Amino acid sequence: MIEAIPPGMILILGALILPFLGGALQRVWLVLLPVLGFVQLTLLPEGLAQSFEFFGYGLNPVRVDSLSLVFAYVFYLAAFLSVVYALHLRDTVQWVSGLVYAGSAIGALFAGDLISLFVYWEITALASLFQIWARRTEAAYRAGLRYLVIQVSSGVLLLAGTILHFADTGSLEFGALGLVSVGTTLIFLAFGIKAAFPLLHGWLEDAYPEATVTGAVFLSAFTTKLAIYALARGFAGTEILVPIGAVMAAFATFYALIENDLRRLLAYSLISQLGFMVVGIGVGSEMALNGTAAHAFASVLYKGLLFMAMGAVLYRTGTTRSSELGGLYGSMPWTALLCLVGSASIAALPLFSGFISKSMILTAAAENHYSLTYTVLLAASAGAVLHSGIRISYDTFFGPDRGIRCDEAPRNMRFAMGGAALLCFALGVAPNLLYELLPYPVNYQPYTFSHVADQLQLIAFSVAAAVLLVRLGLYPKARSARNLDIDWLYRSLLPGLVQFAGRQLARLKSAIESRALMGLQSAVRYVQGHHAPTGVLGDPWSIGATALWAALLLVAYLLMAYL
Amino acid sequence: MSQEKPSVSGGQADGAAMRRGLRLLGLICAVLFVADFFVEKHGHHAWENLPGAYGFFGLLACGVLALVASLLRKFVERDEDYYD
Repeated sequence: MIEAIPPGMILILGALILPFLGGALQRVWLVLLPVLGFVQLTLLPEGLAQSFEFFGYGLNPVRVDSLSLVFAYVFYLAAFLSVVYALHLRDTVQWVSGLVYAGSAIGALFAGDLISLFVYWEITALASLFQIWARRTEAAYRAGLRYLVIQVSSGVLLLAGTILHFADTGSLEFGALGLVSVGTTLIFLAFGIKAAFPLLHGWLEDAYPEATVTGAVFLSAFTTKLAIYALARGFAGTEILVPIGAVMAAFATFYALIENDLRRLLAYSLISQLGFMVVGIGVGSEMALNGTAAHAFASVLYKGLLFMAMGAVLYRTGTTRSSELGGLYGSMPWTALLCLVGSASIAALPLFSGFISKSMILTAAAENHYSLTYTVLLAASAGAVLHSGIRISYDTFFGPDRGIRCDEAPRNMRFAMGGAALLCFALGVAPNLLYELLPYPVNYQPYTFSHVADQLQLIAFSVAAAVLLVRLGLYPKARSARNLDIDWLYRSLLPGLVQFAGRQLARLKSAIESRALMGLQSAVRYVQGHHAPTGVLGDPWSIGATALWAALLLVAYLLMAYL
Repeated sequence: MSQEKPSVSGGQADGAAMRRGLRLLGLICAVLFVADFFVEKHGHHAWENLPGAYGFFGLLACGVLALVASLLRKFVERDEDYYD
């Protein structure tokens, strides 16, 4: 019976009941929903498919296979941890939108056709918007509008691509598509926007840091990883994804290294991690796709953990500017410790989750002879030690004391962070927990002497490099600044161009007006010259002259009639 | 391990603890480098099989990253309230 409810629908429908509950019951219901959803997921038989006819089109809103399931498991875990993290709120809007957002993202994972995918795709866009707007500031409102425009554009591209693809092939099935036609290219771009491809990524670093404390945690989990899933489903082995992913991993690392707002730093760090997954999809071998799914799974958890820790810092201190933070360990020891677990995971320290997932993608890239990409990804891994390890964890909690004294994070936040940290550690020590969920059989052993030795060296020497660079004055220090990125095009250049064009048009208008006025005036003068009472034509004629002219005209007419 | 990392913000947290941390970091790096001579390697590229290759790569990569990031900063950095 439980199979009759489409996955994700438990969260969406359950969320709609939430406003009508009160007090403790509301909170219990909130936490219970992701648990119920998770249980439903474990009961779903693989291979299950629900389909129906809609205006003569065969739709397939539920299709269960291992690729969908591995993403769905981690989405439910993320939904659970996120609602626990948000339990201290007195804000039903954020709870409802968070659950609908998570539920629609999970629904999208099981969409067997492109129309169902489109519907869920747009619900995630709308629902997630409230995680930004709920901050209730002018900046968040504006960032939310920009976010909405771009997210909806992604949906429009998806729909347009679907229509063209259907016209070409007569099929709405969401399976392997490949870059074979205009239609599938549009779909590729739609996925690319949400996966934060280079130049299409502006919305992410623009909007996520403007979200609420708890909203950023929700946002970090679903939208981008849904896009990764969709790319893995539709475009596995599309070679252009390899350079795209490598560029993502690299440029986002540079931006992360100079970013002062720690939640924006995490947004860049997120793009860098997505780069790894995009490379995996582009390589397209079984190990690469396993690596992509595994890394998505691991990164939802550790990235969520890091966003939670920085959210707790924002909640307690009112800022996430690195230049104003330091020495918070004394005030927030639990947050500090749990944040370190997140940093260790993203830095791929052995015994933590990143170690067992990132290396699958790296190995697959090397095995398929993408040597340059391999080197870029390895450098991005070293960069992650600097920005997501040292700047996020060390500088904030253990660096020089900036005199901020505050309370430890609320209990529910600590509980959520603890859960995420526990999962990061569990995956690190027992990788088979995750490997068994992956879409293909795993033939990979992360704990070899060689791999552990290499990775420990990479991390230790990266830390040593940071020390040396600081001593030499070459390390980019945290300082109050705003770094321009691609969103500058539509936040500054485009409005500037519109204003410029407006001014030029106004000038043109006044020039035309004054010219026209002058022309009109001279025309009036000319006409006046002839027709005014003093002009030649204004002069009244005598009756005799008029009669003579009339007679001459009649004669001429007569002559012409005879000719 | 991460708790002993030195400050990257440039200030001094606690002199003695900092010195201990740095010594520990130096020791860890040295041990890892020496141990690397005894680890059987099966890297995909020839350079990966050299002892200490990953350590050297880490140093080099972080140096390049920091320099390029600083260069990028010259072009993109504006006042914090640039968009306001």
